[in-house]
Amino acid sequence: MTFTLWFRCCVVLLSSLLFSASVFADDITTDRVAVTKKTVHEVATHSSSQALILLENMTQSFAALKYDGVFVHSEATNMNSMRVRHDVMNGVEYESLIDLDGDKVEVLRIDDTIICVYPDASFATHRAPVALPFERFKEFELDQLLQGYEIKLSDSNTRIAGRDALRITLIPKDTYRYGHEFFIDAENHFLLKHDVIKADGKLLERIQFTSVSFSPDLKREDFVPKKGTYTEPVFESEHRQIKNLWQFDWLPEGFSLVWPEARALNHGTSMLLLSDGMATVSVFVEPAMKAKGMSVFYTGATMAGEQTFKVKDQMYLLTMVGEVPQATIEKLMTVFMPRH
Amino acid sequence: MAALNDHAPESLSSLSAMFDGEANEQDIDRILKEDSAHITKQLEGFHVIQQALTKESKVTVGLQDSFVSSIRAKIDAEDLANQNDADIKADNVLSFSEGAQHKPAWKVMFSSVAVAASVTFVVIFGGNLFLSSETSNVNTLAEVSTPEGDESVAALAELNKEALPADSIRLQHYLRQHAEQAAMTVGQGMIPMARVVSYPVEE
Repeated sequence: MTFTLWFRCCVVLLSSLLFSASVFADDITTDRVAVTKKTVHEVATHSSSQALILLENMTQSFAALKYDGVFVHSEATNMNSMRVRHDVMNGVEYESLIDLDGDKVEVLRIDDTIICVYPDASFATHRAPVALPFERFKEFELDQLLQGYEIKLSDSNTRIAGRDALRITLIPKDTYRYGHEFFIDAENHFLLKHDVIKADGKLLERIQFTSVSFSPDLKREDFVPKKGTYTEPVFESEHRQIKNLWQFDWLPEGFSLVWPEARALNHGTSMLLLSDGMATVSVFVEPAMKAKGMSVFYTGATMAGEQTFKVKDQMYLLTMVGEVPQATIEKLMTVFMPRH
Repeated sequence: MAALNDHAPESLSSLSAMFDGEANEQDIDRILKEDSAHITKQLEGFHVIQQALTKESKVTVGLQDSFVSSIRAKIDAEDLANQNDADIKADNVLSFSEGAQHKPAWKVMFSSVAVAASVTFVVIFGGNLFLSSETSNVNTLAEVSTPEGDESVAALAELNKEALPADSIRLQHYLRQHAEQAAMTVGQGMIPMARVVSYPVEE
């Protein structure tokens, strides 16, 4: 009996010891996992923070750097090579974008004024309202960006246009937006390559520099339309801010109106602009007389949808254009309504 | 408005198309054949809708009856000038448009300019004479209906083949507006404007 009792005590003691050891071991393992997870999380956060800083630097580099480069813009059916030049002279910012293939389309920007020279000789000038100067749009809305995308900085670097590049990936958190990959110059953080990617991984649109100089010899004359390239200028009316009479019953996470008010275009059209910090959707609404069912058009990453809708007795034509999936355009069109 | 509705529904449709920037040459011709007083009255009605939409506190001064007449006169003068140009073949400097494959539909372009001019006219002499309570309440209504029908999807590159030229002109305008605003919003300089080059161009 004594032996039996002693044996039972030993078994209980041993079991207790083993259990304690097991629990201790589990604790250690759990702690190690926790430590490992924390480290990964910290690394990820650090990576995201670095990526965000780099993206912010990228946007500033477009305005701050002097550059002259050639890039290729490609999508499913089209590929165009273009030359972009930028400089700041006497406090005035000059920028030029020239189509090097086919018709010589040229877009010029002198501070807030964008001038388009088209092959059909139309010549349009748009001056942004004083309340919304161009300068204000040169920063990323980082908080807004994080609502819609997971942002990663890749460990592996690559070379684009003969320059070392860092790779930043924006992974969409839902299906209402596309993914993006940025390759930015490791030295000055200028954008060297940008891919827009569908949810299934297919490439929708690519912009990639083939050569770029950051010490070009540019003059004011380089940013003036050449004589004879257009016949007569057609000036469109300036954008007027008007009260926004419309609203969305729903918006994808991170999307919001860029302007607090609407803008009036010609022919009674109101324009609104949505953005999630990366993708933009332009909304045009105007009175209409003829009913139209929903139509959706696309080119590369750009999707356009249009449809009429009726508010009591008045018909309106709604048009949306943006670099978002078709489902986003369709859903946004169904939740667009008069503001109560 | 009622008179025009009763006697010339096609003209009303054409005028609406012109106001929407969607008129083709047939629309313009049809409008020019109509009584300018009726056209003017209908245009005023459209302006009222437009003002209600934009909530402008402006007085709409009646458009002059000679508005359509003046368009007609200008088009006639333009036709005459074009005829003379073709005969004379003057040694002008070769312009960008002369080399273009698609010649602009000048009547359509002219109609857009004319409507824009008329809108400007109304805005300049603004007020709220026609801003009735009925039209000003448009924004308070929640009843929204959309037409039923099969949804169609087409590539923008196919627009020139599938859509009416006027439709495509309006869409081109919106695509350009969008590209410009995107260029100012996403922090990539003018790079987003590169998309404009890929968009279809038809005037």
